[in-house]
Amino acid sequence: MPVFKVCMRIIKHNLPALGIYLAIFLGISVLYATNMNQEVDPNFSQSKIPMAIMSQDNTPFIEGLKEHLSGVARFVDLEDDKEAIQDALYFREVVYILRIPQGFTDDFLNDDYQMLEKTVIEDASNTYYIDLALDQYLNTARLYVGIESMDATQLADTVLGDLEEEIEVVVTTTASNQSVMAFMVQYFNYLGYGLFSILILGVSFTMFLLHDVDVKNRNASSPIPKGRIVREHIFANVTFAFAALTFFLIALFVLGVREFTIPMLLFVLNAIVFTLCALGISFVIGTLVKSKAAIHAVANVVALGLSFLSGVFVPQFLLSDTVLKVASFSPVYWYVRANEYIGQMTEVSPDRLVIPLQGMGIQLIFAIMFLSIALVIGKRKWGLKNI
Amino acid sequence: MYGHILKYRLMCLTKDKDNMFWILIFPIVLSTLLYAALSNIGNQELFHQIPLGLVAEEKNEEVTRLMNATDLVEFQMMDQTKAQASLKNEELIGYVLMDEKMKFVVQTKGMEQSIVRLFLNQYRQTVGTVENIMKNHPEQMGSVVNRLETRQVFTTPVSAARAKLDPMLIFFFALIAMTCMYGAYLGLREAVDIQANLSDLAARINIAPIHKMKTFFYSISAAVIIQVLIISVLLAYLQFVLKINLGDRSVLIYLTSILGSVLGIMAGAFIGTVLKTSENMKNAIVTIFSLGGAYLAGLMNFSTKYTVAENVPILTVLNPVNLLADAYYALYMFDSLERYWMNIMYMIGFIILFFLGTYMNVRRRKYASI
Repeated sequence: MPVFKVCMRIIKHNLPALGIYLAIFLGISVLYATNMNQEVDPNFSQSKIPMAIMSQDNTPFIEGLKEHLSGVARFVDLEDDKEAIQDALYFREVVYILRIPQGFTDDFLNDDYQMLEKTVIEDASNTYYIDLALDQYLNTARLYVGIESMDATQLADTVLGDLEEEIEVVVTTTASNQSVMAFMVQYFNYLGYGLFSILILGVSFTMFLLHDVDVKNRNASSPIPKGRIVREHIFANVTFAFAALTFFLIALFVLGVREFTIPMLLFVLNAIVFTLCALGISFVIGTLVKSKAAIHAVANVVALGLSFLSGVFVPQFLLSDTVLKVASFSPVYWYVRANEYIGQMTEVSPDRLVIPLQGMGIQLIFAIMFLSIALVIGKRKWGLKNI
Repeated sequence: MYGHILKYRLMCLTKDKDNMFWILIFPIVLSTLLYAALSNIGNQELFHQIPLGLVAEEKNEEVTRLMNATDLVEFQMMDQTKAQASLKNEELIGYVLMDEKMKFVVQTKGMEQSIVRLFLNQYRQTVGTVENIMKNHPEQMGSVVNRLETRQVFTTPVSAARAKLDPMLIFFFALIAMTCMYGAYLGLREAVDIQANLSDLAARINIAPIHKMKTFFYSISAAVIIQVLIISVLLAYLQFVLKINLGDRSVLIYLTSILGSVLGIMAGAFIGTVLKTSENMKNAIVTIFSLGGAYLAGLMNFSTKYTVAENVPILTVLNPVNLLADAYYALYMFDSLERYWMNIMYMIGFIILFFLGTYMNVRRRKYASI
């Protein structure tokens, strides 16, 4: 199979260029994988918000407040400097900064209330969360002030005692594998981008070289029939595509995901269908590019562009409707959509399979369409040129 | 002579389609994509009323009180079967079951679930507190009810910064900085076209009776003109087409971008003259230098910039892309321009360093054979 071998040699020669994409992809995946198992908790636990308290009033009552807030907040040490505070707020390292003035407790016990200054991100929902907890502690304490005479310690203890009572929460699904599922969605979505870039580059490199006028004319004079050249070429590209996919799946295994469940099977199936589709698009691009430098440009714009619009980097629910409508004309959108639905599958039932299977079906149609376009354009291009 | 060289260098550079794509087209495409992908993110952070089911046998006094207790939650009365179905379809984040004891049923945990849980706890705890007080001080009933009805607000918001804390901007600051640094491709091209051992064109230019450094400066000025035009197009595109608010210090933003362009071009010239490797390798180094730098300045993930500044502060100063992105950020965020000028000083330092490096390597170079 001489053509097949040549294709493999071309790809091998270009491995460093492909390696950059592989390295970026693996780097990001490892980063996500390390966060994967941190939040596995089958019971209901409160979310915690990063918060900083700058208190000039250190009393047992304020300590009690901090203890109560620690149920909803993760305290961050922050330098009391205007720019440092603005920096931390901007980058969401902290979303709520509370300043407690001196003498707050004393005034409070005398039924006189000083205001606490809060610096927050305007209208962000998680600041309401802290407000709620803060308000509950102080307003409960206020009920006691003036009715029973208590010092700061007693008041804090009584209030904390009252606030221990909690309603019962029933969680209907076991949340144990939620973080693994979230990682899988993330991984397979990124895989879409990585695989797409690599396929466009790899396939275009071989197409570009084999479509060179001199090479084409030389091949035409060889005893190998034209049909066989085309078949071997396609076979080489399919082999390359599935080798790349296998590499990504092995990487997933190495990263620690070793579950063989039905959702996992669906993820892999979806990725296989997507590979065919990406291959189709790569064929079209490969037949159209005119220079080697253009391959990099096209690979970047097409793969990055479709990935951005289709929700590979930013989850689809965060994208605007207009963007999603535009994106629905690309197979990447359907690939990502299927992944997100598979990721949410709490149980496997026929009605939950509809959307993922629909996504795969649409991708297959895209794949067939692109392959046909590539073959039509390619057929013209495979013709001989005058020397 | 200046006009002549300038004209031909302008033609050379603008006809280099490869470079033009990466410096002009790619940033515009990338900014459009970023805009499309991120424009909705700020809204997600905003507070929306939380949809919550309420399953109770009748709408009695307690149910009414609960429903009116907060604006955070939008209650919908329904029977349990419907509540379960709605929960499964994710129309609700959960529902409250008003049995003998109040129960909160959710499918998964999350921020909204946590807020509702906190609110329900608060409701339950307040009832407990009142019962407690009533047990010991029944005579205080009036005062307690009065205090319950006039819940005190204890916090007052203080403005955080001079502008909206929009996280999307970090991506665009990094993008503009990266585009300025892409000027390095032009600088590199100029460096290659002036050294006789690197290109035939340079060999021809070197035998012309004109001082080499003059040729070099004339060429560099062509690169600066093109790069400033490109960055103007990008800034105009961001501000007038995508309508991104980069802050109210437009003139300083523009001047900073011009300085950034010069920095980028000088960096390219420096790489092109000091390093003794192939042109391809130099191109790769420019890519890593600008794209990698932009990554650390927050182009792909906005918290990267902060993480780097917290953990490896030296990288914020050594990375020219970050200096530039941070200058835009400082202009946007802070009243005082102290941090901005600090970044500008470092940038000027880099420009001088790159210039001296380039000058030392290009001057008086003679070739025994090429």
